[in-house]
Amino acid sequence: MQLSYFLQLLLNGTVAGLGYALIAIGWTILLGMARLVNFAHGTMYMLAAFVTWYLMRMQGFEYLPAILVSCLVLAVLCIVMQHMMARQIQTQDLTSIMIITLGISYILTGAAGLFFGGTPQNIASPLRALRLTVGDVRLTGLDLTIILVTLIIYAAVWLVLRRSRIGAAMRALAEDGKLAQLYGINPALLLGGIFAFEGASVALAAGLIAPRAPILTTMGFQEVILTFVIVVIGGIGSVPGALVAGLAIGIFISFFSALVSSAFALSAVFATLLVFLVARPSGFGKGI
Amino acid sequence: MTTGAAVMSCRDVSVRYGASVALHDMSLDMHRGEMIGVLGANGAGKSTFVNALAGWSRGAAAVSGEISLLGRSIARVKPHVRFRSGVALVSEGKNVFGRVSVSDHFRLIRIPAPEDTRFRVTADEIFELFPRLAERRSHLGGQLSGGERQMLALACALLSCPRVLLLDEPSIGLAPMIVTELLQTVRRLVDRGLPVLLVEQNAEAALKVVDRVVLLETGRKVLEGGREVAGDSRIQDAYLGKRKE
Ligand SMILES: Nc1ncnc2c1ncn2[C@@H]1O[C@H](COP(=O)(O)OP(=O)(O)O)[C@@H](O)[C@H]1O
Ligand SMILES: [Mg+2]
Repeated sequence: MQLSYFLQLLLNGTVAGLGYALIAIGWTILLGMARLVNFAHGTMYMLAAFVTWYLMRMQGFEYLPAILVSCLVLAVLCIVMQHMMARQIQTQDLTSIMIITLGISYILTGAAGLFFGGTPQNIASPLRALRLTVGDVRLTGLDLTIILVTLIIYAAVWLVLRRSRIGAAMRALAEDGKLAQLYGINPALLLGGIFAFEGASVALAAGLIAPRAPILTTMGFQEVILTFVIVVIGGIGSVPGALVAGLAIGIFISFFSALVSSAFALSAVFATLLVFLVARPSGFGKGI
Repeated sequence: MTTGAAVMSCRDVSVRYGASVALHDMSLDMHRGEMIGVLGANGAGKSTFVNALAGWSRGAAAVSGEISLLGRSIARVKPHVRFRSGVALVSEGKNVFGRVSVSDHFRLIRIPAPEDTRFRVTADEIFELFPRLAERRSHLGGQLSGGERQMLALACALLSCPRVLLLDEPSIGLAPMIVTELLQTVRRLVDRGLPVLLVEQNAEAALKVVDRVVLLETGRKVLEGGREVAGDSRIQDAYLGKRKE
C-alpha cells in the first residue's frame, strides 16, 4: 500500500470516527451520569439533520444558524422526553425507558416521513465545498470542522466534569441522587441539563456529519447502534473512552471497507464488540 | 442557654410509610445555642423524624404537620432547597459519595452570602477542626475511614452555613475516643450558637453533651426534658436495652 493511500484511509477513518464520537457524547453523559438510555438517539440524529435541512432549504437560514436552532429544538425535545418518563427515571426502570424511547423513535421516524417526505435530501453545507490538501491527502473544510469541533467538545466536557461544580454534582448524582439532595443539588434540574445536552449534542453532530451524505428519514439505526457500541467499548459513560472507541471504530471501518469489504464492515465491528465484551467487560475507560 | 424565638420548630408532624405510621404527632422547638438529643431504641422513629425535618427520605415517606424555619413554613419545600435555606442533615449510614473526592465534596456546597442569622464557618476553620480532611483532599470518599467520612459529611454540612444542624447517629461504627472528640467538636459549635439535633444510640455519650433530651418509643415522644431526665427509668431501659443486644 502506498503511504499516501494509507494516510488517506487513516484520515477518512479519523474524520468518521470522531464523527461517531461526537454523535455518541450525549449518550455517554446520559448513561455515565444519569444511568439512563435513549434508543431514540439515532432518530434524533435524523430529525436534527432534517430540521437543519428544512431551515436552510425552506426557511432561508444560513448553515450555522440552522444548526443552532436545530440544537435548540432537539434540546427541548429531550427535555419533553425527560418529563414524559419522569416516573420511570425516578425508579430507574430501564426496561420501560428502553421501550418508551424506542416507541418515541418510531413515532419520530413516522412523523418525519410524513412531514419531510421520502426522498433523499442534501444539506448544503458551505464547508463541504472547501477543499484542502496536505501532501497527497485530501479533506474538506467540513472534515476539518468535524475533527476540531469534536476535540473541542470532548475537551470541554472533560474539563467541566473534572474541574467544575457541575461536574462534581453530576458525579454525585450518578452515584446517589438521594444523597445529592442533602448537598443542595437539584437532581431534576441537573437531569434536565443532561437531557438538553443529549439533544443539543446529537443535533450539533447531525449538523456537521449529515451533510457528508444524502439524508433520509429512515436513517438513524446505524447511528444508534454505533453509539451503543462506542459507549460500551468506551467503558459505559467514560468520556475519554468514548472518544478513543469512536476513533478506533472509524479507523477500523475505513481500513476494513477499503481492504476487505465495505458490506461487512459493520458486521466486523460487531464481531469485535463481542470479542471485546467477552474479554474485557468493563471497556477501555475507567470512570470519567 | 437558649435565647429568643425558635429557629426551627415542628408541630404535629406525622410520617407514614405506605399504610404504616412511623411517627405520630411530633412537636419540637429548636433554639439558638441549644443541643437536643433524640434518643430511642432501634426502629423508634428517630431517623424518620430528622429526615422529615429535612424533607428527605430514601424511601417513600409521607409527611404531614407543620415545619417552620425562622417562623416561615418549609413543610412543602424540597430537600435541596431546605438545605440551601439552612437545614443541614448528616444522614444515617452512607452520607458521603464514594466516587467523589474530598475537595469535590466541598465544591458541591454553595456558600451563601454573608447574613447574620446564619452560622458561619470558613473553609480554613473546617480544616482546623478536621485536619485529617486537609491531608486527604484528593482522596475519594470511598477511600476514607468511617470516622473520616463522618467528619467529611459534617464538614460539608457546616460549610453550607446552616441555621440548624441535624445529626443522625454520627457515632455509628466509630471508636469511643473518636465519638467523644466528635461530640465535643459539635458541642463547641453549639456554644457558638448553632442549634443541633443529635440522634444518638449511644445515650451515655449523648447525655454528656446535650441540653435537652427527647425520648421516642414506637414513633411517639414519651419523654422530654433537661439532662436531669438521664435518671428516668425509661431512658435507663432504652439504654440498658441497647447494651443487652
Ligand atoms: N423507607 C422506609 N420504608 C418503610 N418503613 C420504614 C422506612 N424507613 C423506616 N421505616 C420504618 O419506620 C420505623 C422507624 O424507623 P427509623 O426512623 O429508621 O428508626 P430509628 O432511626 O429510630 O432506628 C421502623 O419501624 C422502620 O421499619
Ligand atoms: Mg435511625
